[in-house]
Amino acid sequence: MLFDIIIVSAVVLLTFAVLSRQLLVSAIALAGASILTSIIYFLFNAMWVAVFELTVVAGLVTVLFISAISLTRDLKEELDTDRPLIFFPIFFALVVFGGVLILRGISGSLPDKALGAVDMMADFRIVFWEQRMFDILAQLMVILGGVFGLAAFFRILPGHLKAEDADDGAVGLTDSTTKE
Amino acid sequence: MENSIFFNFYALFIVALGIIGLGLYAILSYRNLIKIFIGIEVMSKGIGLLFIAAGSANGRLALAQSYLITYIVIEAVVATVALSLIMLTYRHYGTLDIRKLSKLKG
Repeated sequence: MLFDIIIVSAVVLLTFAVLSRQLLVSAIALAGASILTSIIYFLFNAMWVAVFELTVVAGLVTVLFISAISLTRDLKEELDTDRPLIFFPIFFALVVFGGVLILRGISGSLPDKALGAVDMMADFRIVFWEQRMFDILAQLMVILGGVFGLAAFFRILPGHLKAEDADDGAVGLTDSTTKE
Repeated sequence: MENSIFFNFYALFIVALGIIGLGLYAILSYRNLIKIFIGIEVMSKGIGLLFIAAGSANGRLALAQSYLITYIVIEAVVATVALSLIMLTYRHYGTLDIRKLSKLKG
């Protein structure tokens, strides 16, 4: 019963995040859904992923979202949709119907219909550090790529500094002329 | 847990697909870049749920966790780079409306 409540709450929060007209409310609803998702992972005995979801997605990504939203204007006209709201349940029903069709196709190839037959003997540490070592290297490469990407986006060239100084001077000059 | 309706791979598959549909709706319907990226994040929630449900159903939860941790790290880096690109776009053009961005030159 607890599992059902958490799943339904997560879906409601994600729907709220999508349909909300305020970006800040959307970001906070997304963070709440991340917290509930991490609880779902924990209930699946996937505690390592739960910790990552809670710290990285619910923490870091939410902070990034709120920073980006606070640095940009929240224009209401940009948050309007071109489609009427009746499009939303139709679209949702179509996607779920497609999922049911896919399930009918793959139902014979799945080993077990019910969950819970988890092989607890397979130690996560052995799988992560020994069998999937190249994934860790790939993660390092991706993080380095992100760092270099940010450094390239926000680099300050000497020409930019001179141009900004000139702009500041021009602004000061216009201010002084307007005061006179 | 065994009495739960959603503690079943097929039910979770439908829920995860519904969440992916929610994200797709946000991507297709909204014009604000941040809202579109929120849609991508919503889709990633469904994908993560699908990973864990499939790993648990197959009895390979450790492998699914390993893949999902890699996915979360990639998601965080993509979020960082995408949000910085969005901020640079706003600083350059003064708007986040994709319709207006497509009409600008240079």
